[in-house]
Amino acid sequence: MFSLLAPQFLIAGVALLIPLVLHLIQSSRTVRLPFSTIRFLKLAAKRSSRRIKLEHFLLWLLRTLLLAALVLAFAMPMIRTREFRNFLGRAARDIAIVVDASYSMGYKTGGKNVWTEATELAAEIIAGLSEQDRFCLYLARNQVTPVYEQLTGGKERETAGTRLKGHKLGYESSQLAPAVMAAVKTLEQEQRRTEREIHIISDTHALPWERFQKENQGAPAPGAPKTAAAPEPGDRSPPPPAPAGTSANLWDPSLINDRTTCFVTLLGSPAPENATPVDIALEPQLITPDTAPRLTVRLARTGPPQDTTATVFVDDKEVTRRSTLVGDRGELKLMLPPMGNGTHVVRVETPEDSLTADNAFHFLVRARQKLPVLCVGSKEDTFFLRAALAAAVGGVSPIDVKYIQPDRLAEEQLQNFVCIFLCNVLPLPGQDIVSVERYIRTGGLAVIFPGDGAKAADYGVWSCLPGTPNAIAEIPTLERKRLLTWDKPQHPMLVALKEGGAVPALAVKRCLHCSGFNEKAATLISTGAGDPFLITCPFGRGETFLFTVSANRSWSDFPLSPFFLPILHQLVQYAAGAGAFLPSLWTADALPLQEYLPEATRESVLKDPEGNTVSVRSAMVDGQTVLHAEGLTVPGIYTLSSPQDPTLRPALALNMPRAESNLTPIRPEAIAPLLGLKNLVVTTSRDELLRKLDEFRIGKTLGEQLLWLALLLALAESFYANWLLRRRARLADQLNIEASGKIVRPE
Amino acid sequence: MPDKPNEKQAEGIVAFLNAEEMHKLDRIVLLSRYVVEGNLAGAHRSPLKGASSEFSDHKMYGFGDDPKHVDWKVLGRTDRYYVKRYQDETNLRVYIVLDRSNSMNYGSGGVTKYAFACRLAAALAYVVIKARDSVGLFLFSDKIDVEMEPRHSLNHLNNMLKSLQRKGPAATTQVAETLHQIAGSVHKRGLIIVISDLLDNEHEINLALAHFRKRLHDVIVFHVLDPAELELNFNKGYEFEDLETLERVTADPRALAKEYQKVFGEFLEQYRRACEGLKVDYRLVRTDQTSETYVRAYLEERRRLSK
Repeated sequence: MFSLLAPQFLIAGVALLIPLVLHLIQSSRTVRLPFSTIRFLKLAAKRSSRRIKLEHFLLWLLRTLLLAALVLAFAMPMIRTREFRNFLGRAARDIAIVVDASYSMGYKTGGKNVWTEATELAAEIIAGLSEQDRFCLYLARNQVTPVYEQLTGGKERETAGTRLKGHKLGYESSQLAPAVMAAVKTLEQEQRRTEREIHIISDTHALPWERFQKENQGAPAPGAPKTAAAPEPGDRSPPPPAPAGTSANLWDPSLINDRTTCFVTLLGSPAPENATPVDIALEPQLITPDTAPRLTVRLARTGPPQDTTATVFVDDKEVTRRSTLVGDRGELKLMLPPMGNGTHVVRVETPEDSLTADNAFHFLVRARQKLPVLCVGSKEDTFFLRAALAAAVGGVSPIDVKYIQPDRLAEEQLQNFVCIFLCNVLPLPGQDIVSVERYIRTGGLAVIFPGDGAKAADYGVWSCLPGTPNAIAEIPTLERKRLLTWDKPQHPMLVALKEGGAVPALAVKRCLHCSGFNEKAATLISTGAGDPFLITCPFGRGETFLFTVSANRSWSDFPLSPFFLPILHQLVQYAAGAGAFLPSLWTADALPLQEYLPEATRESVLKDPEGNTVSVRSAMVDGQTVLHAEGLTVPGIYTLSSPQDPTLRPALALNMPRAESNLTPIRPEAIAPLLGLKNLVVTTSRDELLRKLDEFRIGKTLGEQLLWLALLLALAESFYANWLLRRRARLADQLNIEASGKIVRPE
Repeated sequence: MPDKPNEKQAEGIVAFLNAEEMHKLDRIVLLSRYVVEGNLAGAHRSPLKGASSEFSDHKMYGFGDDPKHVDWKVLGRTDRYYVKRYQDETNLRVYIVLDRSNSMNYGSGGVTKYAFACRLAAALAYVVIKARDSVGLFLFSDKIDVEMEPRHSLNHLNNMLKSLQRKGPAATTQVAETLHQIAGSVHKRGLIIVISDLLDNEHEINLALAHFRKRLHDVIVFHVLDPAELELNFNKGYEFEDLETLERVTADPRALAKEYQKVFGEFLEQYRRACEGLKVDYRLVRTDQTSETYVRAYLEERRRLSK
């Protein structure tokens, strides 16, 4: 088999015409020279024309062969002929191996998972290298993980297998393209070697190959698979990691030259099957000890439709199970039994299959006996509020209200409350404002009632308000009668109230005027004529509600209205549902801890499901200590303890993104168009790869030999041309002319 | 000395020889190897009996013979009257036959063959005049262009050289025919000096030289050649144009040189052999030397050989 590693240099073959063209130009551009007689020239030309033609032909042949040898040398012809294996030998080569390390590689076939096959194959490829060969090795995970980042050889060949086996299969999705680009860059560091191989060892999973297609099309690289698998925007999940597909590692096949051959090996089953719980949803949001939560389990399946059972475990005890026919996607609705007060560990499992890593989905359920609410204000200002919140619904009040004076606000742990009512407490000290705003930002809900104690300017220092109050307006007597209108009747907080059907009317004597509304702010209730009555605005992960009237009778008769109590109760219910607690999160490399675990401190110890302590890094941001947990990559229940309470309490439930669980296979023929490489070999088994490698690695480039040949031809041409020029003898010497002009012929 | 004889800055002998060269040439003579017929008493042997001191032979005394030449010793031994006769000595009549064909206008090193031939002629003529011998001139191309009878005065030499200056190389050449013509016009035996590149039919020219020898002339042939004509030592290809026929040929001298030298060597060899057979003094003269030095070297050798 004959091939050219750099056939583009054949274009330089046009240079073969140069000697001929130069000869023709030289012949046509002769200078005229007067000469005494051309008689002897003609005679000599006649006698030596054949010899001259032969000499010219030989010179042309030498020069053309020289140029041809140079052109061929640069084009680097490669002869791969089994018959001449011993004669040709084998060229030294650099190889790069990229092994897919996504959790789908844990798919078992024949008692061995694909990851084990892949690592053994990689070790085998390395062991099969010769002394002059060098290699580098990368694992394709969510981030590129180098095993041998620099080209190496020698003794490392023997230890590479052991070192590779030391890497465990993670719970991440893989990105092959960045890993391949990293491998290509490593190969590019050494330009001397003539032959290169890139080995991509993966399963038949189509997902990691989609990146090649997207990046080939020049589309911006999407984020990590986490992003693709992240729940809907309404769900509160940790922010996805920065996309790995930056401009530095975008797939660019033009960076891979023709001397590089890419071998793709697709191991594992060509038609894999897998079932996994993808996500859950719990209703209602507020779960009390006597509530029977409704659980919706979304299932996904790769392979033909089949009955799939979902089993639910609460605190490691099976509580229910149910089956349904799942095609591509499916959904199961289950009723969980009422749970006691506290946080419960819940797990949904699908039956064991070939890919066990994604069979369980973990989440937490927090059941609350009462909803803790903090009410801040003077006795007069909170009189009606206290009465309304303490009112029992169905015999026992679900709300546990704590009243404090405004000057005691700093002493409270705000994260323990689902909701805070601030009644005529402005102005507050700056430290308290910061504290309240941090509480809202981490998922808390604050309800603010204005009052006579604050001027309009006192609201300006707050950044969590929906708008900027600019005046406290006195309403003329004739205009005090107002009808409340529901501006956002679909808002979760108002849905229940609307069902009442009655149109509330109020007498408003005084109200807060706002201007410069925040763009995310929304007026939920207004008092007619466009005057807002209740305004809301999200702030961080929490929300702020601002009433434009006070909580006592001095501004309006709202506290006396029949809507006062239901609105307040609805606010508390809404706060409990929209609070900071999330049943589950996705695994991540880093997590802002205080945002998801407000109770965590620097002294707290967070442990992963395997019992290892999670690294928590603290940093000062804007004068505040911010905690970040790192390496939350193991799915399961994370526990938190503190020096004050060493009991391990379930704190977080983490699950790996499920995009990787969709094992839709890729056809081997689809790889070539995705990669866009000229020299590509796709195999589907170890034996096939080793056989093709055995055939491929026969022979070597003849570039060096051709360069030597070119040198020899150049020397031959130089000597021959000079010999032709210098071989002329001097006639005067032959004639032996004396000083007197006498010709003395030699005897 | 000007390269071309028709330059105007000097005329006559001074245009060809400077004082130093003339001084060097003063001491040497051009001798004929054979008997010549002069019209004055001189240093050269005459076919006639004369009054020199060199004994020739005896003859029977006859009427009118001067009794003082009777050889008394022979009379005493044989009792017969014999008179002694002596070799006559006369002056040398030299004819310079110079080719002015266009091929003589070629010169690769700045000096054309014609210019060199003129200087050679001037040097030889000067030597002849200084030896009180006579020198004449035939300047020819395809015919005799200038003919000057031999005389032995410096004025004559000057006039002769002015003629050379005035007549530059021109026209084609008919060397053999013209030499025959000249041979027919010179009756008294003398020394014929042919200065030419002899680029004509060598067989015909050899016949013409034989014609001279038949008329008992002593003949010297100076075959004037440019080094480039001998070696063809050009370093690139040219379109060569024949100076006489204006014919052209494109050739690469580097490739042709060897064969050319072979052909040209054969050409020269024909002249050399023919002249050797005719007892003609054939000399190959390259234009890359000074004419005065060459003339001295040649005349020295000729003098040495004539002893």
